[in-house]
Amino acid sequence: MKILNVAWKEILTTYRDRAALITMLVAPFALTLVMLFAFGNSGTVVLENIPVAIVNQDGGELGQALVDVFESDELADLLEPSLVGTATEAKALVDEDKAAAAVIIPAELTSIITTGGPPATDALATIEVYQNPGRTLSAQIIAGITDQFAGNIVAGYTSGHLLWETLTASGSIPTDELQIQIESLVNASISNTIITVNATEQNISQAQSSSDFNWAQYMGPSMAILFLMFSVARGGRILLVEQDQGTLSRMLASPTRPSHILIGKVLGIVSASILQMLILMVAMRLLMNVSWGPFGPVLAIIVAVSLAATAWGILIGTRARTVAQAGNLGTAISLIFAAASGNFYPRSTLPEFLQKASLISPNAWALDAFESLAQGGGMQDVLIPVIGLLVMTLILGSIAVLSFRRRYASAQA
Amino acid sequence: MNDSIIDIQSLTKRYPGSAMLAVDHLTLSIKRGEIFSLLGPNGAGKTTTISMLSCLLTPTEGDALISGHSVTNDSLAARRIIGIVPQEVALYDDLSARENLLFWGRMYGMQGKPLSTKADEILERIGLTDRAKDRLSTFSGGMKRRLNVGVGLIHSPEIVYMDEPTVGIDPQSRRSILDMVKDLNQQGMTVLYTTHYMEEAQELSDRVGIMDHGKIIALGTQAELTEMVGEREVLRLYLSEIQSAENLATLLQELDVVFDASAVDHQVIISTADASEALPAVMSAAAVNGFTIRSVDIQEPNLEAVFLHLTGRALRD
Amino acid sequence: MRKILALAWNNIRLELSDRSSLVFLLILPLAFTYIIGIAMGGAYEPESNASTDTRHPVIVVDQDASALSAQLIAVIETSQIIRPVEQNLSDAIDIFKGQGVSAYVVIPAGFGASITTGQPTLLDLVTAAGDNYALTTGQAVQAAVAELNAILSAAKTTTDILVSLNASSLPYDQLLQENLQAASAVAAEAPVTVLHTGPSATTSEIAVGFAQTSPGQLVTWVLITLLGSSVVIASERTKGTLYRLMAAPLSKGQILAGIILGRLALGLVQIIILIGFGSLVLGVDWGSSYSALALLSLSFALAAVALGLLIGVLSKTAAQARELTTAISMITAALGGAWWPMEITPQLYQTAVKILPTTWAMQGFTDVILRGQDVSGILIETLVLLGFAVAFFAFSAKKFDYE
Repeated sequence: MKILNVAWKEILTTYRDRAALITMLVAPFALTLVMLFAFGNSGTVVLENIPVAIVNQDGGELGQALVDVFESDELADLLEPSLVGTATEAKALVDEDKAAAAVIIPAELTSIITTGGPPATDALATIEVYQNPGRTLSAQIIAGITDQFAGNIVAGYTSGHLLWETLTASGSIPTDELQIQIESLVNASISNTIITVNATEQNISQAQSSSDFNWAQYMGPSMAILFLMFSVARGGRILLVEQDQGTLSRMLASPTRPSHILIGKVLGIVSASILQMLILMVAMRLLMNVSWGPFGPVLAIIVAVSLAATAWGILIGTRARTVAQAGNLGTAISLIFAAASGNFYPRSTLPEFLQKASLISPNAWALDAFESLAQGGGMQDVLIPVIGLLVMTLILGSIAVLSFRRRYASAQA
Repeated sequence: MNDSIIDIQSLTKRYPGSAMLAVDHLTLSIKRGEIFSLLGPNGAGKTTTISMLSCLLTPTEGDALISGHSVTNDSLAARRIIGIVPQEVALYDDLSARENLLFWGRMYGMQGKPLSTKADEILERIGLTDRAKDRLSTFSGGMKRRLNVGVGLIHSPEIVYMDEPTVGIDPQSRRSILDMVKDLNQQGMTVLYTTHYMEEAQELSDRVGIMDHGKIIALGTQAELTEMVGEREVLRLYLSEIQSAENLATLLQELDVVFDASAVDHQVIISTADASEALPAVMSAAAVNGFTIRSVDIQEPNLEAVFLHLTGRALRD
Repeated sequence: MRKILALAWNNIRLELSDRSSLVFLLILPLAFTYIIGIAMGGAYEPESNASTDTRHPVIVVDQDASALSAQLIAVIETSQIIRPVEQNLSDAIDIFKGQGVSAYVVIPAGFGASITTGQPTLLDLVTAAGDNYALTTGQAVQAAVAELNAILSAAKTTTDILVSLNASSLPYDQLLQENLQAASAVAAEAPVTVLHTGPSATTSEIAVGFAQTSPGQLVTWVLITLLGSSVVIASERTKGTLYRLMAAPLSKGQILAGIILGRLALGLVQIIILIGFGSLVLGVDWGSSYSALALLSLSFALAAVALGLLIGVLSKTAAQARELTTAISMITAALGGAWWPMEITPQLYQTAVKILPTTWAMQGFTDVILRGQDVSGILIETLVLLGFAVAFFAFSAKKFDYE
């Protein structure tokens, strides 16, 4: 009963603090909303309407052909090309972040390429792709398109010149006849594909294909876990606040065993955490129509992650000396865990060493579990993470109990 | 002008949303060089008055001149003259005692050698010279209180306001603060002191203003005030904890020999013309009604009796 | 002024008297910049000098080890987007699964032989689903293969015609070999090239991951420091020192200025250290215009400190202020583009987050650092940030009181 009394007081004080409620409930909810807004429900990055500035200084067909590529229907969704008068203007657009890249087609592009006749000139036509380093993804796509176009020109040029040189040298076809035949020969040559690239896309983390991954189902709990760590770190701090207020020694002076006080506190923080997660789960379901997954496994994860997070919080509370120190330590650990375990991206996109190292945090295990659920997994898929969290709770909990005993042993005697 | 350092003219404060006036058209002048105590129960309006006199709170009505400087129009000049000692310790825990003094000195525009000399002088005065370099977080409550007073004196103010500086303090520190107040006064500093401890007001003050419900209900030297209650003496009955002092007070009020009876904690305070004469009647009335009196004090006419006389209520300890 | 400085200095001392605040000021930001930079830039660096090569690594598994497979690798090497790194198949798969690379290519045994005999041949390209650079690297591999294809088919077409015309006495294989060399020579001298350039002259030396994370992390952590003015206000108020300050001959403006100045100093020192770390240790080029960088840092710092004041006057206790500060700085930094590039978000989102000062700060920092802009290029961002500063300041000054 005394344990429950301590626990109830804990829940009460937590839910009466308005700032705490913001971090516990409002922030994760709002952030999920915004993340979904930013990345859409699928969570995959879809680049669209990439602004590209094109300067066509070439009056011939090749320059127009490249412009046509950028303006083609196939690329209409991806690109938003605009024709600009001068290279300076185009580059200024990139410098001002109004374009992802500027493509500058030189004046001599068409004239320099002669499929027939000797390669007389040493001149060089250089297509410049001026890229915006603030939009590397978009810029490289534009550069890639230009590269491919240039590759085609080079292919035609290579075939043409090789055929011309070799055949005129061999003298087996008269020059005037060759002049007529060469175009069809070049066309035959460049349409002849010898190496075929067999391109496959592979989902690295799981067997399932990426299209099965439900981003919203992952992001919701992820944000909840992020802020769970904050509120739990706050819970740990309360231990020290009570010490400062003198209420802790009052409790220790009452005929209650220190371990019962600790258990009561833990119970209070855990219940407050579980409550926080459940409220968020229901709220996201009702207000945003975002499901976290099937209830059974979700509940198992919620309970396990609340326990493990609480163990961290209590550990911080028993190790820190002052309230301010506990506050800083708690915030720092929450932040490190969030960043290292990937609360903002699917965990599988993190480097492997970070994925492994971050398993020290409750975030990582819980996110793994929610990731499985988001990919359509069930109870059997979350079992290992749940066990991992429980083991973490046991280890950290034991350390916390030991430090608590050592610290307040004198108070009992 | 005259010899008054503070001239309060019809000073009034109404907090937004409150029907009552926290301070109700207070007019008062405090003489240069005196110790003036504002005595009154909690909530009488003492702190509100002090806050207005410190230029922290804008009066709803009226004004006060500090050495001729209005707290509303010329507050910067007024604030230079005042030294304040807030009710709660208002210092930086992470700084040492000396660093605190230096910081606050700079806030009053002091610097260099004069500041450092003054800081050492104050440390000496409050008996913290040997702890000067220690962080405040290692200090006892009483030591912090002493420094809290010391910081209020760093810029050698003409007048110092002390708002209940001895609340919740150990007897030794309390003694040293009271002695310091007297000492300062001897050197010519004016002190405005608020308290709800009657003994402090009695011990320190040249003049006392008794405040209740935002008004000064009595003003004068201690002798003048006690004269108001004439030859009355105060009888203080201590009851055991299980009995209701309120009930006994109501009961004793009925006795002819009793002018006023009021309950505070487990005490009943009675004002009477002659304590030793009234005592038997009081004791027997209590005994008949089943009250056990543990002990009895007879006190000379004092401010407690004045307050009781004026309000029918006891000042709380 | 002297009083303001004394107040500012006092705030700095109080902040630094707590050793754990150094964790927030320096250790965490530096660690995060480094870790996230690695995570974003790709962790796999097979060569020690690789950090100067900003092209995306693509693993090539050469099971053929023929002249033609070597030629393919040589062609990939000329790419401006990717660089080939040779590995055996099992290592390649390990690295790929560890997300060290976005793609790998397998050149199967018999690749060269089947080309020589004129047989079409297959090359395996595997890209990582959901990887940001998968599209780009895949595209670049395709481009390299296309280039080799052009050489091959030119050589083959030429050889076929020569053979059909009986114009050469050489055997087919040898003739093809000759024509291949000739074709390579022609292709190498092709008069058309694509030049990839960028705003700053040093673009190619920017470590891609760090150049993005360095300003992002800077904004995040400096924001935490600067918003800390909220904790200063709240704790001065709860300690009663604010009461005392307001009773001293100081104006409200002087008190606020002291608090702002103290925080500003901490934040600016932090900015300088983080920029120094970014440029000296991580090799980030912070642009050529120091005056633009300084102007931007200062206006961002002012806006953030003023927001901190606002949080401070609105929260009741120091602990509450601290909690709000952490949450608000993380959220606004993340939303403002400090944690992921803005280009991957929808247009509507990009417009919506313009209400956050962090968005403008990030925009300004990338203008200076990545796009090499000078003062004139960040004027709008600076003005907007100063506008935020004035608005936040005005509101908090109005609400500022000792209780």
